[in-house]
Amino acid sequence: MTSMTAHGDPAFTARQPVLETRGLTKSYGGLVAVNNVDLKVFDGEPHAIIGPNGAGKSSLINLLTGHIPPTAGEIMFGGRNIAGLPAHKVARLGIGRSYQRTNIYPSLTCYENCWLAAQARRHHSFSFILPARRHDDLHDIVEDALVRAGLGSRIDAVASKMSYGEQRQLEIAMVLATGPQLLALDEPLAGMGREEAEKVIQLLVSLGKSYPLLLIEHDMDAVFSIAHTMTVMVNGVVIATGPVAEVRSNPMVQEAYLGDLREKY
Amino acid sequence: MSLSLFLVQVFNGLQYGLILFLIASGLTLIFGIMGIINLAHGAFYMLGAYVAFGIAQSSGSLVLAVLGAVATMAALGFVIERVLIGRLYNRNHLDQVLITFGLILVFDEAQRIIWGSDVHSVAIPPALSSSFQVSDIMAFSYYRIFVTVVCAVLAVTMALVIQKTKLGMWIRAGASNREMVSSLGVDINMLFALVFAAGAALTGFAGAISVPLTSVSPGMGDAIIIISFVVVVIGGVGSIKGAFFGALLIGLADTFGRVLLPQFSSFLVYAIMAGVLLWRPQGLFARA
Amino acid sequence: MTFFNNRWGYLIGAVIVALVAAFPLLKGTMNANLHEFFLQQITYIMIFGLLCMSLDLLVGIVGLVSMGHAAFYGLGAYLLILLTPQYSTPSILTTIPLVLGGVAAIALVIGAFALRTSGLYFIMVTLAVGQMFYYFFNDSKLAGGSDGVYLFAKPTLEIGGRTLINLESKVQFFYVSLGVLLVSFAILRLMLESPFGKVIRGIGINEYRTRGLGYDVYFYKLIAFVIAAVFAGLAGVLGAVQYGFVNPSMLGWHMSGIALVTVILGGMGSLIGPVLGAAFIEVIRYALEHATQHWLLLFGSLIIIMVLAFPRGLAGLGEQLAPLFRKSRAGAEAKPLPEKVDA
Repeated sequence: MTSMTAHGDPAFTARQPVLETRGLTKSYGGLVAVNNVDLKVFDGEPHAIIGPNGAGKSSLINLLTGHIPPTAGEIMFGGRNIAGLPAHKVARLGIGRSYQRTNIYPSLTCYENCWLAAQARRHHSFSFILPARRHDDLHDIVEDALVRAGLGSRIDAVASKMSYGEQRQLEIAMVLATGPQLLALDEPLAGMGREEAEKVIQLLVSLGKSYPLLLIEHDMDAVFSIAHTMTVMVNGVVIATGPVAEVRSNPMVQEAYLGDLREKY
Repeated sequence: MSLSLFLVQVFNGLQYGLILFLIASGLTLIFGIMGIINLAHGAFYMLGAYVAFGIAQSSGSLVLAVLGAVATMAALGFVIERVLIGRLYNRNHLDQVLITFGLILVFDEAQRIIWGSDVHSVAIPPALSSSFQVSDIMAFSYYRIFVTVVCAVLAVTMALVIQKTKLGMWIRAGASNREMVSSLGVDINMLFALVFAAGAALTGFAGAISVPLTSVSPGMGDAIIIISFVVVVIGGVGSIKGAFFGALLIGLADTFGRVLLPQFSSFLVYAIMAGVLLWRPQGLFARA
Repeated sequence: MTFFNNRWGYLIGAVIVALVAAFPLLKGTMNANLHEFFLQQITYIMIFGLLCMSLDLLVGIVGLVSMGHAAFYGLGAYLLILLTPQYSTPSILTTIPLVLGGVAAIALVIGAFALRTSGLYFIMVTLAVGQMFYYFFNDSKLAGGSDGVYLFAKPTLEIGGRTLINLESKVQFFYVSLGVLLVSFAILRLMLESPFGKVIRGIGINEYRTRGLGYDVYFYKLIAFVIAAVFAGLAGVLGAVQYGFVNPSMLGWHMSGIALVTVILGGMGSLIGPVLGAAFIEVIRYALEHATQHWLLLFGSLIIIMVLAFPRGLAGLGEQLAPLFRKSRAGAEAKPLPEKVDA
């Protein structure tokens, strides 16, 4: 299925990916964690990356978000190569990342967690005297992010006192508050019960409509209901990529990964 | 600088570097294996020197003094690990800093109570008191040569133990992965206590054997521990190899600094540390 | 200290300040020597409290354990002497800002290096740098070496030929120290509520996440490091003025270590707690010093016992004092481990 960007003349503008990697590679000594990966993420086409443990998914997202520098290859985002930029610069350019293990400010409230996230979109925070709460342009952004992530009623809850599922939602709310151009979510459903997961899946489906979305996920059902495009990685290598239905029926994928998964789970 | 002066300085630098290595290797291993920052490590140097001084005073034998100091420091290290340090493994660095800082106050004051605040010296044993003339004004002291050889032998022995023996394998494995060592069925508590005691003994030895060269004074532990921290930072925490090269580098730099840039010699060591931090913030031989 | 954030806390704080401020007025009611002795002691507690407050900004807020903070305290003191033209009176209006500027510049350089490291390395590097200054002043002839150096005259504030403040007066100096402490506290509290303050608190709670959100953590830490150093330098200026004398022990690691102990004891992250801790430590020191000549033995043992006696560490108590935006009691959890970057 080939969709054209809504604007622009299809005859002249080829579809521009929001994020594209070319030959992205990360090796640690002899071990190649991510091997020559080409990846394209398009707006309106939520993209899931799946693969067994040790397939290099985590390394890939860490490369994309600047948490580790690549050994080789390019990461094109916003019209420039961002490979090798440090994490905070990548975040500023608009790749909003959530973490596999909950990574929040436990002693702060939801509101404060998101405030710090929203404040990060400012050019700088070297403002020393005027109290932060007087910078009320951020207030709406914070509330909006919390409502979108389904935490509208938990604004003043202290993060460490919330349920695990709510903490995962907060993780996403914080990403939204940074005003991202692209969401890169690392196993947003990790460790959740069925019911909690269902709620977050609905949330991700709706986010997929407003943001370019890159998702690393183990949960197959979730991937099928959220993603439009799917990339399968095994041992650091992409073995298949394309529309979900197509990849799903790819015999190589069936054998290498899906069959294996069915046995496992 | 004439060739003979240069050689003497190289030799003095190596001798000082080897002494530093004996201290820093314990420090870096204790951190690497146990995750403990021990500010009080310098106290073993100071106490080792004072114990040696005490024994030498009463017995007149430096050999006896050094052996006594090593045994005392090993025992003290073992007890301190069992009683105090062993409680710190699950504490954060801040608690470790505070407790080992408290220990420094205790040790320093204990030293003042036992030996007082005076500076003392111990004569070089007569058999080694002469020196080897290189030129009219330059000489290698036989005692320095002796210290250098002994320290080098110890360093090589330590390298062999760590590289070749089972104990060494556990220590190396412990420095990179503590869980793995416990899963090998090693009594981790005993291993920790032994490594700590060995570190204390080596440091005590360094203090004792330096006594005839440097004399004993109350602040001697403080000065040496800071330089040892610099060595560990330069070499990379947990790396014996790093401690070795770091110690030699600092030993040589300090010795040459005193001759060539006497006004800045105390800065030179820190300038090297700053340079290393700029280049490789995790130290030259840091584990990945 | 949450306690001091509620209305009662402010009231009690105000009462304490009022009582302290009234102390010089008690002059006629007691033995004059005793009165002067207490005046000196309280002044010193305020100065040492300011040093601990500035260290708390690093340890309790940003989560940077510095073992070399006294270096900036001592540098403030030494720079006051070195930057005052010989045989003249330092001016509060010109010399002191110059001193603080000097401390800031040095802290910027030191911080730029030291903050390339973290955790254990940071502790060792700050310790080493602190000792570097100690040995510099101890060994060089620049400022009296290990004997220390005297301040020729105490600073004054003169406007239009009239002397408004003259620190030769112990009572004036007492009030100036109190004023400096209160204003410093107010400035730091205000700063912690600002966007910058939120970020450095965020770094203290979860540095990894703060970086992931898009903050250049290094620069925020560096600025906080410089700010903490400047307040320590200010305390050092007051320390030099109080005794009219500066020696290398002001910069040494014993000073840094005791300041660190005081911060933990008083309660990390509260800014005011360390000032109360300073009063507590000084009282203990005084009591022990008078009990035995070897009081450091007892003092060291006391530190060990106190840290051991709190299974979660005294630091655990301090972490509960982390309310950043709100004024209610916050549940504090251990810091989440930063997610490991796996291969």
